[in-house]
Amino acid sequence: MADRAQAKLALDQHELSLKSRKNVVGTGILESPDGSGEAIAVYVSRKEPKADLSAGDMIPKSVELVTEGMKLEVPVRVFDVGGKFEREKL
Amino acid sequence: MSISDKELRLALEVITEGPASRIPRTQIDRTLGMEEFSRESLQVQETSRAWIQSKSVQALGIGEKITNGHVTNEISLRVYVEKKLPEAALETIVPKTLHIPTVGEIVTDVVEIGKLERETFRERVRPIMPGCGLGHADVSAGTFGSVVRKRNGGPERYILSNSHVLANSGLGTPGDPIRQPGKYDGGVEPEDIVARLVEFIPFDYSTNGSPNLVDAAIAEITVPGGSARETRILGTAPNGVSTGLRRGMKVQKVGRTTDHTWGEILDIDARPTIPYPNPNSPGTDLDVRFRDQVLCTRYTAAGDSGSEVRTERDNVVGLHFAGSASTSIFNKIENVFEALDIELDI
Repeated sequence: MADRAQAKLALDQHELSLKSRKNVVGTGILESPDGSGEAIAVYVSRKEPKADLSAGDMIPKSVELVTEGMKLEVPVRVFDVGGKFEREKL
Repeated sequence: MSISDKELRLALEVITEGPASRIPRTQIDRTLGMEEFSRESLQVQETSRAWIQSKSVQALGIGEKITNGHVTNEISLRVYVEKKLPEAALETIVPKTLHIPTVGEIVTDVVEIGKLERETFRERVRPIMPGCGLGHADVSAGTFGSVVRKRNGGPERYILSNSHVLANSGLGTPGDPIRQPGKYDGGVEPEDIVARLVEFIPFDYSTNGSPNLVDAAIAEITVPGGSARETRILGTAPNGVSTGLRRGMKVQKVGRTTDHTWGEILDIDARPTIPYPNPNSPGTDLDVRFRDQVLCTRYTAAGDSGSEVRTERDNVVGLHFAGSASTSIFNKIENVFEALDIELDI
């Protein structure tokens, strides 16, 4: 179970890789899907069927945090934000 | 016998339109006949005119009668007033019941709603105030967020909003005029110049990590009369600043486009990627990567950029700047104040 500080560290380690995947518009931290601890959020402009994604664009179910010799699996939640992020001027 | 919504709509028509009411002919023939209806409806219209046109009555409508704060089952003719006054202070009194030809007896309910005004947020407003629309000459329109001052600064007061509202995303130059209303809403120069751009936080377009914290700029208020401290609609200045954010918290803002709305915080560690104009290649965009952002349920729309984000207790927590179809995003206020070395002026 990861706390917020650990989730942030995991985000630092995996952000670049997660953000390079198809439709990913951001990352963040949300509550873990099972309600225990924190999870990495991957914000996508739209969800696509697995069949339409290449292996490199699939978002992993969890990522590994390596810190001070210990390893921790931090869960990943995919969150559809309905489109790209845009600045809100007219 | 209780009256239906439909019958009250007919009654409302008779009261305001008299014999010209658009009442189904069959309804008239079935009840009074045309001649009698014309006579009685004219009488209702004429006797009602005195109270309908009195200064205190602002609107008529239909709704359940509210008695001692409780909504009853009885449908009534609503009479909307700015403020309820004792009968002695009124020039004309709204009758408690009215007899309407073809409908019968209806009850009235006087409801206090405050002063009805034309919405001025997209128009010229003086003094200027947080929550109104404004923008740089090369920007369509955004929102005036907060009134701020420099820490340990002089008497100058500044408008806080986004760089993409006051500084055209960093393409502007200090000294550039800010119009209220914004260009999109008809603001022109020099008549509508209210402030001058002073400082903006430049973007770091690096693709390595997420180096940006804010989309923020300040413009010195130059318009005679300065700015109100109270936010439009709310009528209050913020109490102070809060940095204690958590997921699930409710936040509110007043903006140029969607007025006063509420959202709920989903993520206080968000790192969104957002396209901005490329300063070296006009007409193209470059991704700007942010960290330490607050992602909320959607409660804003285009033109609300720059809005001050407050908690339920009216403490300022952020500066709204972006969103997607189902989310809205704000910069944390401590990052904004730190970057620009400013504080609230309240």
